[in-house]
Amino acid sequence: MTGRIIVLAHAHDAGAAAVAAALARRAGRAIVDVVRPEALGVARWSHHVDPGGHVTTRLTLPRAASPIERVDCVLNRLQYLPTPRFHRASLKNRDFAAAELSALVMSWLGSLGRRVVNPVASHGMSATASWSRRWLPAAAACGLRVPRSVVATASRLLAPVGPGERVRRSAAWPYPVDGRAPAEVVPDETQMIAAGMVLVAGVQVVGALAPRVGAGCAALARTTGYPLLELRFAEILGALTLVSVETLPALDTPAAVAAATDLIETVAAGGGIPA
Amino acid sequence: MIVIYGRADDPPIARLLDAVRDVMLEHVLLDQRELEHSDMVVDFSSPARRGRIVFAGADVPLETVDAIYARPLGLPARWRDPLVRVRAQAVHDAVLEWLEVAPTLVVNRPSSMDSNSSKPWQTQLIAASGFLVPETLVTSDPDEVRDFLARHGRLIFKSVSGVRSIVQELDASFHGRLDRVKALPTQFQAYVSGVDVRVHVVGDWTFAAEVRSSVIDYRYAARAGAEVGLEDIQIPDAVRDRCTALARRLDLVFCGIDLRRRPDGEYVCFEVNPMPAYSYYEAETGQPISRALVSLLSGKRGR
Repeated sequence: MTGRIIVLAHAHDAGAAAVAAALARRAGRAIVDVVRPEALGVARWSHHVDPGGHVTTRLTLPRAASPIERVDCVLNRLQYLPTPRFHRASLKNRDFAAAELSALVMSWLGSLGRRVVNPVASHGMSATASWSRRWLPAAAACGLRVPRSVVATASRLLAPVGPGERVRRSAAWPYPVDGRAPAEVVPDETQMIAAGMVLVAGVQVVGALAPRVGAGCAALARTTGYPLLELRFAEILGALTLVSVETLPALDTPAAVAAATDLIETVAAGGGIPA
Repeated sequence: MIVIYGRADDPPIARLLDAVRDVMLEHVLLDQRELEHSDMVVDFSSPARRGRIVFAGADVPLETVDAIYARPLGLPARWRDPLVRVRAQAVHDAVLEWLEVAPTLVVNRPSSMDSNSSKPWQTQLIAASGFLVPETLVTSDPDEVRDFLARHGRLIFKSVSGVRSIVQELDASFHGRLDRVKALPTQFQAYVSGVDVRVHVVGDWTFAAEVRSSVIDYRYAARAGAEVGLEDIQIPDAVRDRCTALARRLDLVFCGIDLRRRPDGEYVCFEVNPMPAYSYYEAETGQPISRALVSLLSGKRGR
């Protein structure tokens, strides 16, 4: 294997650290750089777009011996982007600096295309908020059973909930709960039995539930464009139901770390993200 | 049924309302200024995203909505009662979530506007659609800015993000302050001479307006005491096709594209506005943009 791999991850990200360590153990001639998000805010940047749209980026991290230029794969675990140079600035300037730096990081990661796992979301992050109700139709279309999800801006508008469901009222409601409080229908946790998880990492699907729902999970990863996904399931009234999807998988089992490492190696070796 | 989401006092919304009334198209306005009196229920797990919007005496089943035009602005600050604020925010959030998954035409889905939050990223997408783009440098190295300036002679600078900024020329008054880029990478672009052209893409329709102004950023001409003249023009078919292809690539059924026609006749694209304030251009040129929007919302595509 050749190339340069960047693990872009926070110091508290044990899963990313495990993958970085595995890569370093396995890597033949590859260079593995662990880059902290806060370093991006104090790095020296040169990001150039030519008239034809071709991008070259030179990123010089503090105390680095040489700049990062060619990148073969980025394991993107960004959750937020600190701006250490603006800690003492006004809130307005701090917000502006954060937006500007995020936009730059997004452009850099975007320019790397399918060499970034997972791809950039609107602000260059790894789309940590991406498991939202908008994924439900896609998951259902991939053959996965999903819970009913109904949102109401006033709980009095909700029809009576069915078995295995409950009404969760908005925590932001400032008054005693009444029918005007925003609410949503969610699975009743007291009737859920955790069933396990499935990790999709490129072409690999690992986890105890993979034989039962692996095909649907892999299809969802392909549909959404996230090659690294963790899907958690629960038994609700006896049916195996998808209850969460994480675009920043915990990577807390040897099998998950190995699968993620394989994916990063494949991408770095020029194999690209499996379609 | 057409749903329009925005503020009735926002000129683009006001013009669209006039246009839908002209053709007596069945529609409702969900006015952001009145959200505290509105309600919404959406079943995100149903294939048709069933539900309803209740407001201003109307009760609209979501399944009956054929198309949506959304121009969401910030919520009014006048709501001091936390109850009112929470309710208004809840409706706003529910509408935005619904816009993402509504199984109908949405002009435009919020996620389609993402590229606008990073100008150099959007520049890459623009170039991938076949347009020339201005040579761009985002840097925290003042020496590199000086080299870039020496190479191009004239530079402009503007925000990297979607935060609105005035495009300014890097003239001599800024040369002594270049060290400031060390604290925050800043975006510079080669100055492109020529004439500004704004193209609105509505489905497959295009409306091009030439902008005559002596200032770098004509949006702020009044501040500089300058005047702006707009004129409806025809653009070459190839440029028009590039505009519609760019809009499709960005998943925008309606957008405003900022071009500059160089003296050699080539067009350079600066950026794409996914929520254009088209009313200004329509008022100045007479281009029937709002009528085209109504046609689009009625199921027609254009050309």
